[in-house]
Amino acid sequence: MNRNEQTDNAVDKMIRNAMDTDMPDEVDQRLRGHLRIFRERLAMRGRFSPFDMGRPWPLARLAAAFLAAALLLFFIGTFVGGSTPSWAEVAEQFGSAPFLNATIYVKSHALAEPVQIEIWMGQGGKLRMRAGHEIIFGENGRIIERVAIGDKEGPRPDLEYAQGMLQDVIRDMSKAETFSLETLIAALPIDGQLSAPLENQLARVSNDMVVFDITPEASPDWVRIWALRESRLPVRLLYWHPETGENVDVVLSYGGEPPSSFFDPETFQAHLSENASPVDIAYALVKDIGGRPLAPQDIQR
Amino acid sequence: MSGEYEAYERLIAPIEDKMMRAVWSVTQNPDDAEEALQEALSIVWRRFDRIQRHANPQALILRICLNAAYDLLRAKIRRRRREARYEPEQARPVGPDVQTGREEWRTAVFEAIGQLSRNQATAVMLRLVQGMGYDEIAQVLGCRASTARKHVERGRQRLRELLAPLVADDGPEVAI
Repeated sequence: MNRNEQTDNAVDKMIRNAMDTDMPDEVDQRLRGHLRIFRERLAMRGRFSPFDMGRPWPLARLAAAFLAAALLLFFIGTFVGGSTPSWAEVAEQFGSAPFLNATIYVKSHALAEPVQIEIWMGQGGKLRMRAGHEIIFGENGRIIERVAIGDKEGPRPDLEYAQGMLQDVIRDMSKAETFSLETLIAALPIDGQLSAPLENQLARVSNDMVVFDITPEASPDWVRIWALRESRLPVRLLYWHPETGENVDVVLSYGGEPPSSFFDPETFQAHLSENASPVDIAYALVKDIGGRPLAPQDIQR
Repeated sequence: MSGEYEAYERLIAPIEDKMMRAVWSVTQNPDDAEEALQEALSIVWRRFDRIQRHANPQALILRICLNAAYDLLRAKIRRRRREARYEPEQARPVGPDVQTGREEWRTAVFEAIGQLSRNQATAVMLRLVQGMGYDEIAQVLGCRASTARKHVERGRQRLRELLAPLVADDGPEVAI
């Protein structure tokens, strides 16, 4: 057993010792008392008033739902105007994009420095990613090449954390024929039963944008997606955990499909030379959709 | 006998011990354990109809208990930090009650757990303390087993970073 494993075992042991599950009898009795009272209250619940909102009350709920729907329709008709894209339309439009660029910032807690990861994905399961000093090429859910650029980095737990989170999304998205917002959301550290994406009128910054919120059933974290109203393309996705400040911010942009050489590790490695700057290498074959230079070699050109 | 009473016998009675152990393992203090269980039961009371319709009601109830205890722990950590800012010499550790100097490392463990996300903390507690498998943890968290494993690994990794300095240099024994 090496030193790291010894430390790991010792830390596990500390946690187990600290969180002892053996309860003193006195505590056992006190907690059982609460459970007994709860059981009795629950047994009495059948006698509650029909207006107790804690009980299933189909007519009251139906009326409330009808009222809420009517108010929502009135609000949309009055203040928004035009058609509001549904979540299904946004998800469908995302799936039909030929080429996707996602810049992802991950913070493991409120005071952590963000880690930036860049991903370029083409249809048909092709992927290229930059994480730290490494360019990763993938195809159909597999990593086919890892190329180190620049100086060798020391261990970076923050980067490993971010990469760990993205591992599933990269695998699942590059396996699928089309991009999927659901896959992207499933890779976030959010858990439990998720609500259906609901439009959040308050978060909308302008009329040409639609904002959806997704919330889990039993925890306070949330996901927000901003999409363009006309094109129905999502442009930003934010995951936020209010208890820790952990967050994942994804900026999405789109473009025409690049040449296949963009995803080819051999073509990429041909660009590696001792004289090339790390910026040249990191963005080799990447083209700005607006025609602006991205790296020193683009300026010369 | 009401339907709710029958539901209690079916859903809650079989996991009463688990619920109590869950709140106790996180709080390690009789008053806090009581408070956490009361809070959890009040959530169960308000959402009982929804809980009964859940795919795995018992896992959800267990999660509510752990979350209530964890939230209490986090609140105590925040309160302690606030107090320490103004009266550093009188700052008292949180987590288990401080009875001896030996409790300091336990406090460090609870402080470290308080820095994890709720899912990570729950996953680590269920794995290391309750000895659950990843499939069981996944049921409690309502996620896939692979995601549960990820939460456990990330949580443990973060705890190791935070707690490694407390481990003695000359071996695996805890420095207490």
